[in-house]
Amino acid sequence: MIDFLIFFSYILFIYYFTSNSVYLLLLISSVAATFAQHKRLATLRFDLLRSSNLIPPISILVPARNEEKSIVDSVRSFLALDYPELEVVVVNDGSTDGTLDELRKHFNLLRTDILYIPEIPTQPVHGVYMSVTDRRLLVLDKQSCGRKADALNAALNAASSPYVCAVDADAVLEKDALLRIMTPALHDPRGVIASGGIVRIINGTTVKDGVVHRVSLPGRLIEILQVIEYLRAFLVGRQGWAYFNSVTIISGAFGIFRRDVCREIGGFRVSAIGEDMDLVIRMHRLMRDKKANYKIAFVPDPVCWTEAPSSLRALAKQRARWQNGLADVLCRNRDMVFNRRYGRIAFVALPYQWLFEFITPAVETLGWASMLLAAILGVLNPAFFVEFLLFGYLFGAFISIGSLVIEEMTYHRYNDPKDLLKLIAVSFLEIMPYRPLNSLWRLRGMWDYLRGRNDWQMIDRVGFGSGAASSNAPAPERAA
Amino acid sequence: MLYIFENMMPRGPAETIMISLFATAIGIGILLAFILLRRTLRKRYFRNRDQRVQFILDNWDRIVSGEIPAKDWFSQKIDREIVEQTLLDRIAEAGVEQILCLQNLARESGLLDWRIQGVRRRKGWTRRVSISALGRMKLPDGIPALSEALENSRNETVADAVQALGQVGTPEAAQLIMRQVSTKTQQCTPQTVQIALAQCFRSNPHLLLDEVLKADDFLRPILARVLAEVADKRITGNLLEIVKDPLAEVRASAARVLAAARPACALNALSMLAGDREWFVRLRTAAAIGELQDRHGIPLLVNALCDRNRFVRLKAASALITFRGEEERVMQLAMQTGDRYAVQALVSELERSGRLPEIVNRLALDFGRVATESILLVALQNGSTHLLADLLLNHSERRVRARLAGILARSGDVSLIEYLGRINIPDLEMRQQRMLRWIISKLRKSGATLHGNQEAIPA
Repeated sequence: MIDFLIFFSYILFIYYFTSNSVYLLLLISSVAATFAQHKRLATLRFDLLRSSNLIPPISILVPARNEEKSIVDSVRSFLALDYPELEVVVVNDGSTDGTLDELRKHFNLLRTDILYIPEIPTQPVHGVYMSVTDRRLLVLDKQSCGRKADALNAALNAASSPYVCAVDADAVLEKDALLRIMTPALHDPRGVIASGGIVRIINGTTVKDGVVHRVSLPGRLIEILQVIEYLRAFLVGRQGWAYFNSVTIISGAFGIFRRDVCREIGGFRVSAIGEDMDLVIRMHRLMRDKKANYKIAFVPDPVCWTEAPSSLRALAKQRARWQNGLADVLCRNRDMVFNRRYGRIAFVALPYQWLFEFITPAVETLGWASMLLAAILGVLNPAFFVEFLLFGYLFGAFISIGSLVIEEMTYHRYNDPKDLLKLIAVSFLEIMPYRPLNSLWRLRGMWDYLRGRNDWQMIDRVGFGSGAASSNAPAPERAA
Repeated sequence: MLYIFENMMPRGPAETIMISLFATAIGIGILLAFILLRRTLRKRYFRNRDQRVQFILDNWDRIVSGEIPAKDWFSQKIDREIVEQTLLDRIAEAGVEQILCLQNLARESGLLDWRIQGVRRRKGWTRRVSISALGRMKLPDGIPALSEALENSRNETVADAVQALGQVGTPEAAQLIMRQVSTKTQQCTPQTVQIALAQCFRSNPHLLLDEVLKADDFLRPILARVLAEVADKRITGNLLEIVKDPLAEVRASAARVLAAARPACALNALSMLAGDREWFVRLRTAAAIGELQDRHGIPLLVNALCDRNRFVRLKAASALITFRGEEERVMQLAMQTGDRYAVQALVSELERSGRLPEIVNRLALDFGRVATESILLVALQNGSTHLLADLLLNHSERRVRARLAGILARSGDVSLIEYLGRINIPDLEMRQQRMLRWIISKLRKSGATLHGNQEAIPA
């Protein structure tokens, strides 16, 4: 038993050392990518793009379920985006509140029978509405099957532009977000099939008429912890992976996709919980199968603001669901791992997801259990144990502060020095006690997956802007 | 097994952890110091910069007139940056007279030469910034330096140079861009090239037609697309030649050019393109006929309504509904095609464009009522039930509501009875309830059958 414990402690040690090395590598590559992007931005002329007819149109897909308090602000913000040609397709996905009524009232919707061809099969669409006040708005009233993916597919069927942008209905996009997220596609229209932007947490920020007015940190610790987590996930994780052209997830809260590729793979998989990650992995699969030269990009400057859960219970639900979704996507695509045909996705990105995202909660829990057992058996070296814990703690804080450095050097959203100090302080709290809690929630998600429980659970939200929201959670963003 | 681990970590786990622990702690210290130091420096920098910006803006006219000599601000980096930024922003917004004055400042102060040197001597990012600034000065003096930047091996630099030449916007700059594209190295995207060329030719679109006719198969579609963007009535050359071009992209652009240039032969040429084998050429042609607003083009669009491609049908429908006052004729012609989908596409487009409520509003007038009613009847029989029922219940004018009720009652459409029956009558006002009951009873009395719908539009 003691031999086994020693052996296991070595395994654990190597596991943590490797994972920390990967995070360090991601941090370094994301700093390089951030510098490159920052320089690129210095010479990009958005004013030329903004007024050009040569930019491809975009359809914004907005699945909405029980969003009566935020939908009007969100749709207004989408329609007010700086982009030469866009349409907004909102799908009222079986809302039981007044989502559709709010839209009708504020956008003067008229029910029509315009042609809707369900190229990708979805639940029945009961009605198609158009806005008399803004022709760019189309609203589908659809029967729900409890899946965001189904609503997105309905919107995809109705979309008429070559690029589609999937956003959450409770999200607020910054005015130039579409122009910015399209830059990789404009630079390489044939190669870039998808592009993701950064998702930031709106809690604490002042929103008026669908526009972010003043950025500040939320008041509750649990929300600030998520701010750090999101910064790390996007500025270090996503950006780092993009540097190696191995992005495996584009947030469902904000990402653009080439419509033809989306349709070719049959749209979003309805049974998927993490439908955004599933879509990206299937895109990789399709393009690699076709031996096509392609790129899935990430740009850190287009910002989508979204609401984060503000209670432990809601957060626990969300994280369990993300883990469940991750398990579902990884298990479904397990044939891709170490398959030569899928290149770096098969040999780097997916193994990383398996090793350092999927099984991490189990490894962490086993680690704690083995330490406890070692203490009971009297073989725990207390000094080593403390050093090991301290290292894990400090390294986690190091990566989080690294993401703050990137934020400081570039996008600089949290200007108030008090906010900066709070972020630094909370970076140290994130590892302990937040991370072990997170592991427990994620374990619950794995358990849900093993039990075959894959229903989409609603998460209660407080809301922002002129009203309060209660909505679907943003799509999975796993921390780096 | 343990032996392997021991070999992997000759120092042992404890020592490895201790080293990592110290390295991490030092790393955190460095990062925190960096953040705090940067904040402090930035604060100081921006305080200073704000003061200088205020000073420069207050004295801007004196700087432009040369009253404050360039040597006073050029040698100070922060002042030079602010003056340059202000100058470039003002050039972007300036009219013809002001721009000369501002460009003169760029020349005489040495900013132009400094940026030309930057393009020639610097490397990497600083070179790109110089290229961008040189372009924004819109001075032909920068063309030779930008032309050298086009030879660069880095795609980003070439793309910046193309953009900058576009901003200079002279025919000479356009020639350089076209020459770069002709090398087929594809160092910048077609969009970048097209935006740049559009800037160059916007004031002289007629020059571009000759270039399109001369260009090879690689360059021609790109130039034709630009021509379609900048075309106006000044284009008088041989447009028929691009209409007959072997490349479909060029023919598609030709359709747009014809709509914008409006030559006498436009409709004839478009009628040739309307039968093109490529769907997107037919699509552009339908849109062009709509833009032309020549009523003789209506039959061509009605034919396009029956096109084998869905997008062409939809585009034809959206073009047809732009012919105001021709709705009845268009509807009749569409009915004569015998194509149910064609009529549906047309009715859908009437709804999507918001024209149907406008047509309903016409019911308030006595003039042309018969034509309006026949259009609404076709719309009703082709799926506009929801919209018309909505207007029936909620239209602000009583007369319109009454006449619309009359049309619905006479339609003889059994599905209408079902639809109106599904509306929750107790939720409505008394007048709405009375109207619905009246329509339903009339429809029942007239012995409504499904045939009503089928007779109206042959399958």
